[in-house]
Amino acid sequence: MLETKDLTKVFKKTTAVNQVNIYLEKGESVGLLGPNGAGKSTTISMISTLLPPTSGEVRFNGEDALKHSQRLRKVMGVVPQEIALYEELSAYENMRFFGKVYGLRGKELETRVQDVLELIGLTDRKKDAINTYSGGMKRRINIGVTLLHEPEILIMDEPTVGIDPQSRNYILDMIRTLNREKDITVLYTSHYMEEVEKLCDRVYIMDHGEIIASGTNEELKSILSNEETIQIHVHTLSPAFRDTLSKHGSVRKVTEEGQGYKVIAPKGEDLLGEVFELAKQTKTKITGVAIQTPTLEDVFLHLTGRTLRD
Amino acid sequence: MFELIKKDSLILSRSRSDLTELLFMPFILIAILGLALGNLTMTEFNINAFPVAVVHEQTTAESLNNWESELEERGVPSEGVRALVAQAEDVAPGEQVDYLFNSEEIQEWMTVEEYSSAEAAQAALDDGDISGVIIIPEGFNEAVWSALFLEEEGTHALTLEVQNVESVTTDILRSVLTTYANQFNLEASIAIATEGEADTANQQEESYGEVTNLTAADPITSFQYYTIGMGAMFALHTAPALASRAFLEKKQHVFGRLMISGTKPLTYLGSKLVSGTLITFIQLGILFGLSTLIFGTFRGYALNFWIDLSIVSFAFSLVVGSITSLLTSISLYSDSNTSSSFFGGIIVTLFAFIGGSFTPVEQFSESLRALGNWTPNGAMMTSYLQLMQGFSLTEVAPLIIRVIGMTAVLLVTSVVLFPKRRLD
Repeated sequence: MLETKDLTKVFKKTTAVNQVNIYLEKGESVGLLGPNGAGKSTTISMISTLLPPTSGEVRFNGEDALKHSQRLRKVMGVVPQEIALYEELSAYENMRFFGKVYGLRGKELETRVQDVLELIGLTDRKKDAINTYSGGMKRRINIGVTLLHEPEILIMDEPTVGIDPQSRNYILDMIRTLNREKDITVLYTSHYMEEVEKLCDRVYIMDHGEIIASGTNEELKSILSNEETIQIHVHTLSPAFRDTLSKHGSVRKVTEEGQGYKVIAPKGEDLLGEVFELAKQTKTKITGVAIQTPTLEDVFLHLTGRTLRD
Repeated sequence: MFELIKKDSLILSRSRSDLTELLFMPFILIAILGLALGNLTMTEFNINAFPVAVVHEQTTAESLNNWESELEERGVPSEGVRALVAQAEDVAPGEQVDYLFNSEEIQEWMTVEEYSSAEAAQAALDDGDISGVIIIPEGFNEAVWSALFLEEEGTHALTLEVQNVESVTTDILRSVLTTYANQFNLEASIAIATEGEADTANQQEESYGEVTNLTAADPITSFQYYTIGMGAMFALHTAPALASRAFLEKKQHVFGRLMISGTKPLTYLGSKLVSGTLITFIQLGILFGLSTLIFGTFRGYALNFWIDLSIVSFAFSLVVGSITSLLTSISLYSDSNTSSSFFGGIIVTLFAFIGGSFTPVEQFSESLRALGNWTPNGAMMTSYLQLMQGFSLTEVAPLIIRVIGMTAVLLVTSVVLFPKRRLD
């Protein structure tokens, strides 16, 4: 349905996006996961036909989407990372304005506005100016405006940044409903692996402008099938303990996480006994140990040596 | 496009800071300056009594002698010569110039000094001692008499030399001389048609009717001056206010959202032109209306004046609209709001000074006024002032055309600069 071929964007001397190849099938929910600055937003801008690529192409139903941008724009809704609304106006005024800009008129416009307000749960506050809304409400209306013209493809650029868990869950449930019940194709970018894991059928992992891995959640996690993650909680963080662990022949990677360390090691290694021994040697008090199932975060860590939030 | 314009107006009307800047501030300044300078009028510090030189290259007696000799040379019988010379004494155009410029009404506007030669007057003009020179050339009287009494075609004309062709003083001088010429022709025609029976002396009382109207107009009060001065200055602020919002639209990806919705980039730019024009026009309307309502600024003016004022205001609003478009294009092209901030902070202040919003700049120099008339606000201020002094719309048309020319140039530049590919 929608695909990119060797999509590249160079800003002066910086290559922001380098030969990115991704595709979306109708009704799919695809995640674009990567840390801040990975090139996700630039990729989204090019797919949205707002930013011309330096090279490569975007194809929609086999056609060059950049040459025939109106065909794609008509069926696409883009939710930017920013609150792309007029904050002095009310939710209702914003909805009516964007609805009219999308070509809706009269009763159809009014019905769509009411339906979307209902969907995003803002009917009661529709007459209030956006600048009086909480962060979560702003995010919801930001998405709502995009749904007015009933798009077939929804492209979302980190739509939950900076909001409380309750609002985030509301939004994620809404997107899942749109994808599964309304058959809307979703391209969802985030640096929150939990969101992508929860929402997306397939995931592209992006770093430094390139796609470094792709596949379903399970396929990606299988990269780590020969490894396991041990989460060690300690009373007091100890650099000596960390160094000793890093130098252990069976440990692939150690990262500090909260009040403890995350250790990636090959599966089957009986490492736990030695961990306690090393803690004793470095006078570190272990308060808990857990062996975790690998997450996309672990996959990213494995691939790049960094966490998504680095 | 209508939705975009409506949205711009709605947002501006909800912004306290913009309303303060565009309406409250100018109104407060009109009130402060108008009250503080309440006893002053435009004529006291601007147009009143500007010095003018009159040069007669030949006296009336010399002209009469010359004409008499000329008639004799042509073989006109001596009785005819005497009759024509007698008629010529009654209709001496050079003397009527003196009569006009020494009249009480005209002396309210200018002080007239007679110079012995054109060279001396030109030197005084070059030194800035006088604002204009009216030269009645040698042979002028004879040419007029020949045209009047012998129905011969002549091309002798009064010469007007001025310091600055675009100043208000020049407009006044030109208007007085044009009226003089028209009136003189009319009077002379009547005199010939009635074979001298019409009472020339009585006609002279009425002859400069238009001039009398011009000088009899109320002097421009400080409230009037600062209403148009502050109106012109703060109208310019509308452009950066709207362009800054356009930049914010881009920064917050609203612009991108609009582009995805199918809005064409040039439609968006066009909406900024129309929004800027309409909002400025409404802003000027509110300022002029409120000022008249509260301070009586334009009370008593005829409907025609208001129509002309609206036409000039619309032309000015158009140029502000085109500045809005240009600042929008630059902001979106450069991905920065610096141009709008620079225009609002520096250029508007500079234009306001040169254009005469703070004080009539003629008192500093005529060339500053000429320069001021090349700023949109300066050109419009001059137009407004001239309308208030009784000038017709036709007479202020060159300045309006100039402003429309500026609009065209600014618009073309804004279209060229507007980013058409990168829309995110």
